[in-house]
Amino acid sequence: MNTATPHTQPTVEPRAHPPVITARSLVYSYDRTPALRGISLEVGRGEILAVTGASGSGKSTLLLCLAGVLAPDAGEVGFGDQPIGTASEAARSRLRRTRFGVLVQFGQLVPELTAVENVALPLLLAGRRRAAAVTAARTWLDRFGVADLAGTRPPDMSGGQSQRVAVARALVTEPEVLFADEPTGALDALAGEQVMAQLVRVAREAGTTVVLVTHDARVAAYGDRELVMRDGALDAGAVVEVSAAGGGAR
Amino acid sequence: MSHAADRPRWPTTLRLALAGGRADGMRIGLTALGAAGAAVALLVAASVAVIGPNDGPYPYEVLTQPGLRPGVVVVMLLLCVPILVFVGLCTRVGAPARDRRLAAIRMAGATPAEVRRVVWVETGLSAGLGSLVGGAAWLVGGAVVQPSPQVVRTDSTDGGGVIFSELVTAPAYPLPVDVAVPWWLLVLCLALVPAGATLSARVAMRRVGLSPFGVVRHERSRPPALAPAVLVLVGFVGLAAWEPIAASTGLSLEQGLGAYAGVSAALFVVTLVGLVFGAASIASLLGRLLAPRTGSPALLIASRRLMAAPFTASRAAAAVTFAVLLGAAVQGTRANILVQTDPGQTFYADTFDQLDVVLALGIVIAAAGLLVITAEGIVTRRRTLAGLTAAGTPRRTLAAAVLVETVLPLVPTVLLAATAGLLAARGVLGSSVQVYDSSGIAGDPEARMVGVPVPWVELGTLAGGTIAVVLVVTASALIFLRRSTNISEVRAAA
Repeated sequence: MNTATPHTQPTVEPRAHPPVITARSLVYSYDRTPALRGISLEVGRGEILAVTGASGSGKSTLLLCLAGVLAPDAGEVGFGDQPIGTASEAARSRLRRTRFGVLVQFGQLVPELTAVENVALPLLLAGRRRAAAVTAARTWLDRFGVADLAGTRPPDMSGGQSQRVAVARALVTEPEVLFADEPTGALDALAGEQVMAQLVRVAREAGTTVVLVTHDARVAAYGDRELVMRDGALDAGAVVEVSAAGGGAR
Repeated sequence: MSHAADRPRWPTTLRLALAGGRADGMRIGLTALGAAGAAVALLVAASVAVIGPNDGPYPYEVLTQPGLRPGVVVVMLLLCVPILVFVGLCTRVGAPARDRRLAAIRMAGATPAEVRRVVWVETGLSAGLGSLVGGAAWLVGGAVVQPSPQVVRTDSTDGGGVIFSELVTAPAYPLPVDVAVPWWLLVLCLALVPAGATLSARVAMRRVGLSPFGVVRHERSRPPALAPAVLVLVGFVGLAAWEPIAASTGLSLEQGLGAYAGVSAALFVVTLVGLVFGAASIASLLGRLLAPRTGSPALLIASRRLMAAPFTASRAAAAVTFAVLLGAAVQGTRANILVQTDPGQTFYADTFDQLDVVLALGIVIAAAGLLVITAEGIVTRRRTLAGLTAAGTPRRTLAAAVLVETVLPLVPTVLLAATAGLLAARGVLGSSVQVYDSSGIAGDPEARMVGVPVPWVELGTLAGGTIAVVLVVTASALIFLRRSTNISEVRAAA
């Protein structure tokens, strides 16, 4: 049983990175079931942060609060100087569309759209012309080695191919922060390794901050830091500095 | 133990059929509501068919004149078409929750045939209940409704003054609720509804695979056939070109009524069949035209959906198209008849007004089927929709995609149906008619040809009103969108 209460947890700060995402005393409950109990943390610019924990520990809820998908019941989430937790739903949606990338385990691709259209969708939503959006989408598919699938629909792809297209879609707007919830959860070990290796490579090249939620130690090893969650709180004694240089498993 | 004894007993099937949550209750309720409507429509048709000399009186000449009653029967039977389509579509309400229940029943050891029987029993019972309610309402109406006098008020001008006059008619029944329908016909009407609904459910389940791990709807992988679209083209072009072709060959309505009207009627049927069976072809064709070209995210999602699943809304869309086509033919007929009648004679105008009410009802019922389809489409795709929302896609974009997907294929279909219906009416009845003008020389009426005006206002109201009704109905399904884009849906089990 976790005894942590709001405002009592120490802030887990990044090493050698100026913070881009800040959370202070985050509390969130599903009805009467507490999911987050006063979490505070900072994520540095360009950092790859892995959040791990057992099923039901609250790691996905934390990611959704940091990404502005969920508004916390109490506490503050900030993106630079910009408060996220108290922003309107429309403002949070705009932030996710323009400055964040969100990657989830299932369902993020529209099954009826082709791969290139799926990747181009965020650009079209941002008002880009179709030809330009499709050209950019093709470039991103190429970076993830799936350019030959441009005209293929997700139901006709393997899980690994689908997830690479999804990663390309999450990064096509060149977001400042990528939030990934179990990005390889539906893949076998080999496909998961390939997706993670490509994701980390591209994120490093672009200087994208990545917040990664996983229960898989091999995926967590790609992070610069690993935070462990238990019963809705950070297990402060289990902050793991995976690699000072931000190497992770490669 | 015998094989038969291995089957679940009927009480067990019944319990399984009626188990479920709020969505299941809504499905049962909507099915019963549609069935009640169908039962009432059938009973009206049956009552009109057996009106005797001692029944009535009624305020409408379509009921009092025996020669016009078969038309009312046909109209009421046609009204049953969109109602039964609606009842069939209601079997899909709350499908995801029911699918999980059916999979659990399969997991517990039921065979696919037994699980299908659970679905049919549920539909049959719901429709049977609705049919009984409709029948009871009709019979209670017969006992409660008493004939009442009608007050007809007419205003006319005479010189500088206005003359108001009121005519109080003899007491009359508003509907033929006083008619004693033979018991066997009553039973037949009430039994036809659940039988039709069960058949409809069996048809709806024919592409459904029932496994212990879930229910799989086998979508047709082949694109829709082009034949119905070709039929539409042939019928439409034929209807448009028939009058000049007939004129150039010397064939006219007066010279060869049978051949002239027969060709028009045949072309009307060809167009009707093409439009009803070609709804999926038209949806797919529109998707193919738009998807590679559009830069609008909502239009892109909608057009790709139309390409990927053109059959989804085709039955409901076909019911709407059917109603519009008939409606347009009625408007064309109204224009033709009214141009030949004395403006002071209100019988035909009143009759067509009554027909318009039935048509409007049919269109609303047909559009209600689209509500079911749209809501089901949203709930089925909730994981994708929630994923898109999590990634920042505005809900209004998703809402626009849902609206466009439903309404877009109906716009050309409704316009085509409205035009084809009018052309058919003009083809069968002629675009000009002979009228006898007796105003010149007293006692010696003069025959002259008069062009039948195109009823633009009526057609515009029909087409525009239908699209507006479909828009409103589809928009009301968007209440499911907010819940379906909740982030919890992304994390729900597959």
